[in-house]
Amino acid sequence: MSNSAGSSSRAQEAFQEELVASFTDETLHLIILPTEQCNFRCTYCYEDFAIGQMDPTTVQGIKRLLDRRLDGLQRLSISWFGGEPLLGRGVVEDVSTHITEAAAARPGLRYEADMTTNGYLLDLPTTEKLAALGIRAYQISLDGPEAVHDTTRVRVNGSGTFQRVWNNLLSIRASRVPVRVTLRIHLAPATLSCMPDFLVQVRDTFLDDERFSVSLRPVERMGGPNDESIDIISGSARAKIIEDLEEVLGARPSTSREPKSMDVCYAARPNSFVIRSNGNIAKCTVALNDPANSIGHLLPDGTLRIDNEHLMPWVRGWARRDRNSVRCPYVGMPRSAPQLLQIGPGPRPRVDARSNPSADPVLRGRGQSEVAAGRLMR
Amino acid sequence: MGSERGRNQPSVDVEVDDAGRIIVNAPEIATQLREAKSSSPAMARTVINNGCNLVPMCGFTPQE
Repeated sequence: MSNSAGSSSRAQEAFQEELVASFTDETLHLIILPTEQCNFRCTYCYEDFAIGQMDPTTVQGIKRLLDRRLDGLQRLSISWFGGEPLLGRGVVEDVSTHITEAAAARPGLRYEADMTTNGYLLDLPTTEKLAALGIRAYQISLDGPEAVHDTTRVRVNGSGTFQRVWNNLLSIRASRVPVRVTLRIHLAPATLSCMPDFLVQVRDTFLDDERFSVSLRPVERMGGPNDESIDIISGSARAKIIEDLEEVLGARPSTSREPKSMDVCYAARPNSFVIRSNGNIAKCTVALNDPANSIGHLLPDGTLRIDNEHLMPWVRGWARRDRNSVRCPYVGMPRSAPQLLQIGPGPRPRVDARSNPSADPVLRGRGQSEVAAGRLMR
Repeated sequence: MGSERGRNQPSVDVEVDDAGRIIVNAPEIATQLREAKSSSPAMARTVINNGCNLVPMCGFTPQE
């Protein structure tokens, strides 16, 4: 078989594998936002923090939904997101306890859970408690050394956060708690010069511990209110910059997950749902303010009221074997109203507000942020 | 099973019922899933709607 024929065959196999993984009813992936409040106000964040803690009826709905599905599942994957999920720690523990108790009676069920957190509240006792409830993978963002990090990843009152987060990471490092921690390090033009020294510090402090890994991610304009002032690394320069910085990190692969032959976004998978803190069901954790992302609601009895016409654009790539649409179904999504948000550094879509009053310029660019892609693509 | 599966909307390629279980309406996806199953016997069940009121297609059997 020639190289090109072999490559094509492998690509087809990869697509088939992902198709099966995405369409099986024996896998369920829930991204749960126990709150959409946050104790940080990162300067590039897109979220508007309008929705508070998940109310008890929605929590009940999640438990009832799981009760309906658990017997038929071989794999349950829970991703905790927000806002800052640890501000809704009670919800996290409540649902996780429900799952672990049910899983104990189902030895054939593979349950795994992860959390995207700013790390401020992730002290060692919290980590140990959550690990015992099955949450054993964490993604925590750092924007650089303290002086840099504390200009962008700030608390609501504007104060810095680096020392607290770093100390929490050190506590985890000094313990034996069975978790994996991905340090997601954001890259921006203004911070590149300090990155080599910072990555040496990260490498020497954490990377001899196999529980820790690093993911280098360029900051994106994702629709937050400060988008216009955010300087980003050009697309053409990214690969070389990341390659050079990964050399600093050393021989161990710096990405948080094994490279795959095909990237699939969780939002493209029919067996993946986002449960927002108000009980609304979405597909994507980035375009939170886009009406196209609202596909239904979870009722207290565990019933999913899904508008399948709204679901369809998110899963459109599979029938067409369109790899771009399964990699990111939000980009190029067919819609009747103009796109309000754009992911990535490309040119913004032009919207004429006179012909479409819904194209509110205040809403443009809101609602995007790159998710913990490695964690949420299971 | 049919009553649990919720509404049937052949106009969409894929739908989910009120428990989030997947129903495939698009022949293109059904074909791909069949091909995958034939190459991988461990493929899990997916209900394919072939206009037969949500009865699983021949060849798909529930995982024990």
